[in-house]
Amino acid sequence: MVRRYKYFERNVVPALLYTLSEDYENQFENEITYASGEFRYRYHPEWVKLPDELWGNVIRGVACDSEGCLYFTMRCKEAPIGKADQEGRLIGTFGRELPFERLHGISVAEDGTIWVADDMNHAVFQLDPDGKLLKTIGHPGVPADTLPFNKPTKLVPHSCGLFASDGYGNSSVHVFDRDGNLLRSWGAPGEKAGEFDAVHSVLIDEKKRVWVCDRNNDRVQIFSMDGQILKILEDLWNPVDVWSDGVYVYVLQNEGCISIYDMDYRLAAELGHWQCGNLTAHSFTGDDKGNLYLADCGVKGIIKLEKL
Amino acid sequence: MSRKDVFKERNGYPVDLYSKTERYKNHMPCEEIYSCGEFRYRLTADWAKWPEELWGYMVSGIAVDKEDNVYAAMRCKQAPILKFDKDGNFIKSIGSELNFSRPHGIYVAQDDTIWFTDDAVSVIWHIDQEGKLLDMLGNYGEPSDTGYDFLYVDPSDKTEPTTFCYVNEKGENVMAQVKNSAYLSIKRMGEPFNKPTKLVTLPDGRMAVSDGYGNVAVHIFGADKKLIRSWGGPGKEPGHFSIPHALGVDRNLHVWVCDRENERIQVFDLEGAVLSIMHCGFMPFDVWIQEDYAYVIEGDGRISIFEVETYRMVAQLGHWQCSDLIAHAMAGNSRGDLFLADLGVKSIYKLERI
Repeated sequence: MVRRYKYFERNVVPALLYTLSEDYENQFENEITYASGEFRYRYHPEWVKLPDELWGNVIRGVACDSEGCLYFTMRCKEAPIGKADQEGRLIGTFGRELPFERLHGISVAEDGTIWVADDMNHAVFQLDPDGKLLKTIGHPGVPADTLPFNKPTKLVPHSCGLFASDGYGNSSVHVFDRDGNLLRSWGAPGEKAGEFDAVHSVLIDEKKRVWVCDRNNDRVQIFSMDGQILKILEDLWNPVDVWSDGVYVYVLQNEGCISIYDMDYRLAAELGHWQCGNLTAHSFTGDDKGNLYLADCGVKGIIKLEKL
Repeated sequence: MSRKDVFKERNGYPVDLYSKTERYKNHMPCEEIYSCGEFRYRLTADWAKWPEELWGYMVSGIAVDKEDNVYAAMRCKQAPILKFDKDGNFIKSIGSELNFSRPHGIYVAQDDTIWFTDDAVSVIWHIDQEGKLLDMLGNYGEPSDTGYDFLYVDPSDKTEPTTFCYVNEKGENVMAQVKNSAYLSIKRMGEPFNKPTKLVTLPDGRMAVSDGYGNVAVHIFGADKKLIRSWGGPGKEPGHFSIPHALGVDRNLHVWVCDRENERIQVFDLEGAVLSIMHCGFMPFDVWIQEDYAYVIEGDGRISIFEVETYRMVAQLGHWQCSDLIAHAMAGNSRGDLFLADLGVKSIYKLERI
């Protein structure tokens, strides 16, 4: 039996205690660092400073633009998308007037446009950097059967096409051309190779391979551009997001761990450990300095792992 | 409104999602370092080498003996106390033949005898290393009269109820939904004990007890186990308590009490005079004292370190909501390593002093 279930069975209740106190500022500077293999990071919780009226909204997705600014999606009608500068200062929020229901993953394209997946709305939207709606893919409010989309999780723009993970209500990876026309899809519900249970994120690496977070199957599946399966990385801890710096591929696992693979699928490092709550997060991204930014979906907000 | 309430109000639920895999060990080691000034520690997750059949019970208390062996008090009838060597190797379980109800705090005295509080039945057990019962303080299953009603819910209490196991008049384990504010029902300080939380011994054999969930007192016992004095009372006044959850005694024979719901540490002399009150973060759960410093584990993921002579805070490890340091009890060994008992799936974490 899985340890967690065992624990639950034996104790009836998982003991989780949280503060009711207002006192959350440290009186002393202190440092937390993570190191594994060649990789070292310094940990900064609540990197993006949110004003009181925004603090506490679930942050589900985070992306980084070419300038190092962060874009993040919040479960908040008044401020669905936030933008912060390199120092974690909030620049602004936008998207309030757009027909969003509940935003999930976010990506920034090379041309600076922003793609957000709206899982409750069954659609993916493209915005310009000022928040103006440019394009809608899918039928907002209408879940599809197998076509795009049914609770999509992320869209990643690439020179070879737009790749979407779809999602909580579907079991597909879709590829679109630049205009949003569907080129092909693959996947089916299940546990066998090529099947998915909660397709949570997608990445196209330097070798034009498609890494797919098959979240509830605890694995990442890697495909060719046309959907041929190349490799399965098994036995992960609820992989929720995948990012690459061009040399390594980083897999974020919701259980509190980041696994780092080289381009030959060899594990180069593992940050955190099972039940490492400090690194528990729902999505992440990185900048050109190799710093990582984790969106926690919880009270830690956006965490920065500063590359050392 | 507190941050937690804001979070809950805005999202409706605490987010908690997990993997189904059986694996819980890393494929590659990861070094996690906590440092603040001269205080530097390396964290070892899942430090104890558990016999598989004993893993997964709530570890509510932790203690270290003078040889640096580590003792875990678990909420498990067949193995209420586990003993590990300094490297985390399992040595034995102790106390399975005794009818413990719900162990809370544990302490190993200089003579290697073990004291631990059993809050569900309001007694303190004293046993030897073989698990032989040496003595029992308090009246089994008969909490003292303080007005405490553990089913009481204060109207201001917006927290989620937790499931609590208690022993009823027939000696049966019963589950009940309780809320944290039950302590507000306490009307007066009572005699020993009403859900005592921890006992520590003094070098001369005297004992100090924090009492407890259902009482608001610190008791001092003589080496002959006779009560010398008690102090306390309900509320926020200096010298009063809202869940005295643990305590420690420093080299000056001053008693440091974790006044949990008041979010403070109170320091007393052995007569009960208040020497200092230090406000700290959420729910100070436990305190461990070695030479110059007192180490306080707080429930939101921080360890605050105080200087024994000046009562000044000199360092903090972790951050608000630093989950890896959230623990219910803490003890240290001769070289200053800290051991954290989590009450959750993390069981025992070690912070190795480096």
